[in-house]
Amino acid sequence: MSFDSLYFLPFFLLSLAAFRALPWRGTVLLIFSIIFYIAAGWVDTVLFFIILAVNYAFSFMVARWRHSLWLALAVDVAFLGFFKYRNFLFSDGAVAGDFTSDIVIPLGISFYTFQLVAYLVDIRRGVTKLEPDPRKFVLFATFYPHLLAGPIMRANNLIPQLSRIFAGTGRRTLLVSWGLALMLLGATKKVLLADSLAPYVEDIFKHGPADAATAWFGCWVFGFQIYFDFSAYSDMAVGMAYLFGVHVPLNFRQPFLSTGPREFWQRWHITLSTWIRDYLYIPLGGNRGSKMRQMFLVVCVMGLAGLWHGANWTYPVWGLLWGVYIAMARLMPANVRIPPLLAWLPHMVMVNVLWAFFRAPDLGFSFRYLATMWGGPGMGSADYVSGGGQAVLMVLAGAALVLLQFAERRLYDRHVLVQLRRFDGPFLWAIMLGLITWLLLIPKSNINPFIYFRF
Amino acid sequence: MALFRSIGLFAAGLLVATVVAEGGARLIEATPLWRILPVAEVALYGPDSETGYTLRPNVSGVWATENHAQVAINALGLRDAAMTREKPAGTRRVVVVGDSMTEALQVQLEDSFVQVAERSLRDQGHAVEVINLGLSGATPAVNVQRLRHKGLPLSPDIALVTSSAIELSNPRPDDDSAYPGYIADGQGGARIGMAFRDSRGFQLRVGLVGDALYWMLDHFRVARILNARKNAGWLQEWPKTSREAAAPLCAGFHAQRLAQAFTEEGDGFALARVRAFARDLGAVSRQANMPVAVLMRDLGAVCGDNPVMLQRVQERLVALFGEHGVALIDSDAEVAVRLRSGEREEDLHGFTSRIGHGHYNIRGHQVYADVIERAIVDLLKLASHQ
Repeated sequence: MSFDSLYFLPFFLLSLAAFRALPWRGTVLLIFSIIFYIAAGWVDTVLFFIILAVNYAFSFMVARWRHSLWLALAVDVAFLGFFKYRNFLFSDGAVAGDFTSDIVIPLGISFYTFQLVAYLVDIRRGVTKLEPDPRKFVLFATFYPHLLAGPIMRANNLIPQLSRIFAGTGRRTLLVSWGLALMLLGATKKVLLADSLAPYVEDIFKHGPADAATAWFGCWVFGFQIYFDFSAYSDMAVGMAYLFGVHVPLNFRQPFLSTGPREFWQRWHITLSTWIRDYLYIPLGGNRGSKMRQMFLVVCVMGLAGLWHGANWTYPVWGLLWGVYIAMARLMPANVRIPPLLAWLPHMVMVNVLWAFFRAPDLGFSFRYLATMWGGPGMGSADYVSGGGQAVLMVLAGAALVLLQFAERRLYDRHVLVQLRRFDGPFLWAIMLGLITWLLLIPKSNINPFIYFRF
Repeated sequence: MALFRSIGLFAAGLLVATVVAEGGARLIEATPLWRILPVAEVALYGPDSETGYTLRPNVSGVWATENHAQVAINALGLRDAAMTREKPAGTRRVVVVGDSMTEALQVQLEDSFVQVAERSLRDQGHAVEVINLGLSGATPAVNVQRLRHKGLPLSPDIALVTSSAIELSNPRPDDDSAYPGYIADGQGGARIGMAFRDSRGFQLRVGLVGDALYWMLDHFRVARILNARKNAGWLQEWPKTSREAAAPLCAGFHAQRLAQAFTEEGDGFALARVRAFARDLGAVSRQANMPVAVLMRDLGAVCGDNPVMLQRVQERLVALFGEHGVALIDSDAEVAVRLRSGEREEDLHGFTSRIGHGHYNIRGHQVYADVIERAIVDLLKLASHQ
């Protein structure tokens, strides 16, 4: 069930109404979360519950026997590896999914696997307690606002909140219009922006850019397409969770305003970045050791992060290159201050060069694409920036996308919260719900699943 | 009391949301953003007693299904430039009847093959008007009706009718419950059925309810959004379990189907339909004393088709139409000879896979314009001898 589908809205409203009206809030939320996932299909559902059962059993073992953690992790990684990478590993390497066709991996497997792995590790580390109540454990994994594409939540954050819900002492939602505002922001970004940019990106990366300008345009627009798409899902997840009285961390903070690689990953898919830091980078050594060792580790960890995104060589290469970029940036002396704009421009150049790997269907395409970006011959027929008038329009549109980042940042200002609190009530709720409804009513010329559902 | 107040405030909020949505949709249309962002698609079609449905006169807006294009329907109910019903002196009129490929809502009017052909002919010194009578979803029966009731009043000198061999080869009679269709005449032949006139949906659309609905569609963008959504499906996003289609066998089924349809040995309705179609077009040709030609697509070979069999099908169809004085042109063959080196017929269709890929894109219209331009020049010579 996708958040941008019309039939999802009554499901959400029904679940919220039942949650608020019925006394067994935890159970109600659990039931609706399971129903939500069942819509993905019975095969995916059965697999999900098998993985849950295995991890539930492992959680007891991990709490008791230290070394069982490795077995548990091996099993989880094996599940993920088999269902996500089997075609890649055991066929000719061709990928039957990604951006051009239907989603072929069990829905949400990358996200809930990471969440469960973190839970088991945290039990072993003593960061979180074992949760013996199967209802709370299952709800921890299935809590539907964030189930399919994050934000990835830590057990020591989410389970206590869910426990309070089961106990009937859950946090009272203080500002309904804030939750609805986030949902509206997400629906706007997905329906109006991400889906509108998708055809241009599709055309450029299917037929190849005819010239360098179109190649740069393609990467620039793709970066915003995937940002709007993914952050839209996250916004809606955070908003919906808030309305259930659950605080879920924000996953994005206007990453296109970053001025360096480290800052980019502090603003982009934040919960994945922190997961990688806490469960890969630090356990493997972190900032200990020589600079070279740290840089090597960064490259390796980012390569794994890239691999997480999909079963195609382009993803680990993308990750490795990000690792190299981050490592190189660490060589910059700390006391050197570069004016933000001067830092932003080359940083955006790098980000866009790297997007070419992420979006390309294969490595060969990505290298040819890069060659076109840097003045080589055109590689295809997609041409969007030729002609003076069209070029001006496209440049303006591209600039407008960055301005949207500034506008979005302002939405999180304190004065917005003050105004929402001031006008919070049925009138404002209806405006937001009404606008969300009208956005979801817009028919789709093509069904564009949330991009991160593919990962 | 507090509850009623809350309900009232909630209703007011929904109204405000609707007004904001209306304003937002209008704002998008008024700026270049209509090319990119979702728009409230114009509702172009209305009921018609002769063709079941037609383009509504003086309606304009953005067409958003498979590419975005500004669409304006003229006062005569045609997707064409403004024109008078009376033919200007010294001008030859060509009407092009067809389906959505002719209607060409996916591209701006000036890029449609009808307009491209007209400009080219005028540049060559021909004083012609090439008029677009295309209508999405038009079947052979609808095309005949449209030619009779929309085309003839324009006093055309030539009529071109585009059609599909696959559509004509359907072994079952047409369903005329929504628009005209060829049905059995009880004597082994076919006639145009008009059962749609008695349907509840049609009666509703031609009555006051229909008038009110179309008024809403013309004046409120939110009404257009609802209408477009209804057409796309309220559960459009519901996952569909798609079984991967078995790879088509390269066994020449296309040619076999056509051969079976159009021969006396065929046990379906197709032959009766083709004969009736040719008969009706011939009648129009004689009535208006003008040459009529059919541009037939889908006569080309598909995987594994026997070319000899297809040649016989084409000869058969040429003969069937020729009995009634109607010329038949293999439009696929005409398109094929106009492709550039390395260009494929599929390249003439579509606007990226995320938008749609069925209809002619701008290059496709350019190629097809050349096809009908050649046909028009030949028919103009024929018309001047008649």
